[in-house]
Amino acid sequence: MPPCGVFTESNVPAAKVDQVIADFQLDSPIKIDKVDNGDGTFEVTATFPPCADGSPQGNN
Amino acid sequence: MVGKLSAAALAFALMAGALGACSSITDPGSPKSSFDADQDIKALSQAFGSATSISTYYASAETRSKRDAFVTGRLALINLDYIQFIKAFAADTAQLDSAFDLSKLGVDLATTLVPGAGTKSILGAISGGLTGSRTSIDKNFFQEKTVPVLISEMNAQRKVALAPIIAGLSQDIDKYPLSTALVDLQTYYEAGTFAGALQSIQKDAGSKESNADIKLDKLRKIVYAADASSERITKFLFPSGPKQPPNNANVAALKKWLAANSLDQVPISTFLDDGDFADQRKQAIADLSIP
Repeated sequence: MPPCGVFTESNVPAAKVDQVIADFQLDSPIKIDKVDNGDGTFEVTATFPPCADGSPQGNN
Repeated sequence: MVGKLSAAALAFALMAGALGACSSITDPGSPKSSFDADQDIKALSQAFGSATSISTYYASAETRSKRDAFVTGRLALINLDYIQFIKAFAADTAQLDSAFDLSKLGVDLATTLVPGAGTKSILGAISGGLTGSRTSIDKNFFQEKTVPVLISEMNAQRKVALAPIIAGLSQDIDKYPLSTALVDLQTYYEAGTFAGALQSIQKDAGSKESNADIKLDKLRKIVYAADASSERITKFLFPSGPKQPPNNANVAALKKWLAANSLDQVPISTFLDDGDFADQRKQAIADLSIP
């Protein structure tokens, strides 16, 4: 069963953001967002298709 | 009416014979029992007949010794009945088949010998019931090999259910009256049934599923904690760096490994960057011979 719902990684060093995004893309997410924390780190969020219970957060 | 009653009595005797045949079957994988459970049950029923009678029990003042005698008597009877029950179902399938076939043959013969359409109808139904019982047991228990699982679960649950009874017997009558002991005895009895075992298995499965959900929920928000193993796997997946296309064969190999290790619901990125997966990453490197 492939990943579903939303997965987030925080405190991602700026130098590793591209790698984290590339890694997430291997699982074909619907979208990927990155937020600059302003302290040299990012928060990367990958949204996959909803889980079996239909919840976007994957509360299955 | 008389004919029907006679048929019913005959049917009862044949059914009792069928059950007797089942209970007398020995488990081919076990040595001969050092005691005769049938005789023991009969003897214990007589010995505890008055002690395990609720009306007799409450005919006089409740005492600890009376309670202990009642509870231990019921326990002994439940245990012996359980042994009989287990032996019947743990018997070799072929032997059990023979027992059913013989019982069915007996009913079929009786059907041809007794007069009256109503009587024949009753016996015919019993004959069909015997065939149906065997089919049901074959399909549900033997062919699907669930009996060993159920028996293991029953044994485990019986141990759990016995604990409060043993603890209760060490207490005075005001703290552990017979009314409480009867509830515990019923729980103990039900722990030794297929229905009780199935309920327990179902509950356990639900708990495991719930734990798996909690674990997955924890992975939904992680703090980046990549290590040296993460770097090695990343180079395995992206030999030319994150801006270049991945090595699809290596990606497929890692996904296959994740699925084989029940981690297919975890994104590769989460697997690479979560601190709790450090050991699994090392294992993946070893299993996939990642340089």
